[in-house]
Amino acid sequence: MFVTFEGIGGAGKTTQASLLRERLVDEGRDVVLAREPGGTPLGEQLRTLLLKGTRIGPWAETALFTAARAELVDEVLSTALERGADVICDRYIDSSLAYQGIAREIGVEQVLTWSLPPIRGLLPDRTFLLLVDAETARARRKNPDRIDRGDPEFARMLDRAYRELAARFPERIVPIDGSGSVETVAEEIYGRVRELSRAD
Amino acid sequence: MFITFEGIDGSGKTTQAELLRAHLESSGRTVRIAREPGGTELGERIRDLLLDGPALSPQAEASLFAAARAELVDRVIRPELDQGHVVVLDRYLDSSLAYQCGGRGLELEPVLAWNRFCVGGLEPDLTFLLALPAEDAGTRVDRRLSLFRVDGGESPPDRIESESLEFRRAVEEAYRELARLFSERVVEIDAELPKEEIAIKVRARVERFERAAAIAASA
Repeated sequence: MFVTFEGIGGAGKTTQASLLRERLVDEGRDVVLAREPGGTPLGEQLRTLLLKGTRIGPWAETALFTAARAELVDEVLSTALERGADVICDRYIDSSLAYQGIAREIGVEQVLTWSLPPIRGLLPDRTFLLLVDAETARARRKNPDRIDRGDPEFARMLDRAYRELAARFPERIVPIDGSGSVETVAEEIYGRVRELSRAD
Repeated sequence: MFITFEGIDGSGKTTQAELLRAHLESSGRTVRIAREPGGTELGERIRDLLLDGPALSPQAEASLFAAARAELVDRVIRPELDQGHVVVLDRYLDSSLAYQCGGRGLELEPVLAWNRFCVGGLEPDLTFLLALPAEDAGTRVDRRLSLFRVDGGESPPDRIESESLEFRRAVEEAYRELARLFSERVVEIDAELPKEEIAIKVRARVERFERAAAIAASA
């Protein structure tokens, strides 16, 4: 099973991804948790470059995220999935679709079409989209990075972008109200994951 | 006018790009020369990663080259071309096709599509492919490296230059295939000719292109 977490900075992705990992590990499952960009030596170097680097054009940005993702798929995700492990990823392709495709106006179709071959077409079984309003997100967010910019207007645009993606891929993307307590949100996600693993 | 030089390491691309630049500048043109990957701050960092970093999957490698290229197009090539300058590049899109597809076995179509997407469809007006048998390129690179060592202990061959002979042969073959595929812009020149002779052929082809462009513009 391959699940990903998406949402604007401060939505609670990292917290929820690690809580889900704990629950699944407690059940005795083999779980691999990864984050994007990162998770490989190349990915971590690109993460530094992307989050703290200079201004980068939208195409270069898309290609860098794709490079990090391709490496992650090759080095970590495919081997984990092949041995039957569950994979949880904190951000994945929908981040590119929302940030570069919609917010930076490259186009969802464009980004999807061209960035799927480098990741061998690997899409998650489910994507949990954590929805919180921009003010809540900002309050939760300690260190806004370059991608998030700590800019409320940009956060609102991203929020719209993510909702647009959820409407476009309703079978894969599950919108979750992320404004509740950490435990409530975790419980809802766990319930969804149980349904998914029963369906397998 | 946008001109690129292609060929495996040791084929003489850098020399010919410089000779062409000198020639065009002497006739009053403004010429911007750049190398790939590199030429921008991001590009230089990617260059370091690609040449000295850990071994990467072919897909990641192809995407990194595309990222460096996208940035170079955005920041350097398009602005220069918009001002009417000549841009001469030491490696561009065809390098990805030859190395990632020919050398590493990725399929041509997706890599080409991905690259065209990243550079917004910008293709060179002319591409000079300096072609020579892979064995020859091997000896040239070896000679250059041993010269460096004699000169004062320059760094050892980087990851891409130290690829096997077999790899270089596959790349050379891919380049020839690309020359057939994109025959309208790729000009293949025997890299074993003396460098002055190559430079003359390059100039003649560039002048022919400029005349044709001038006629097209006045029509």
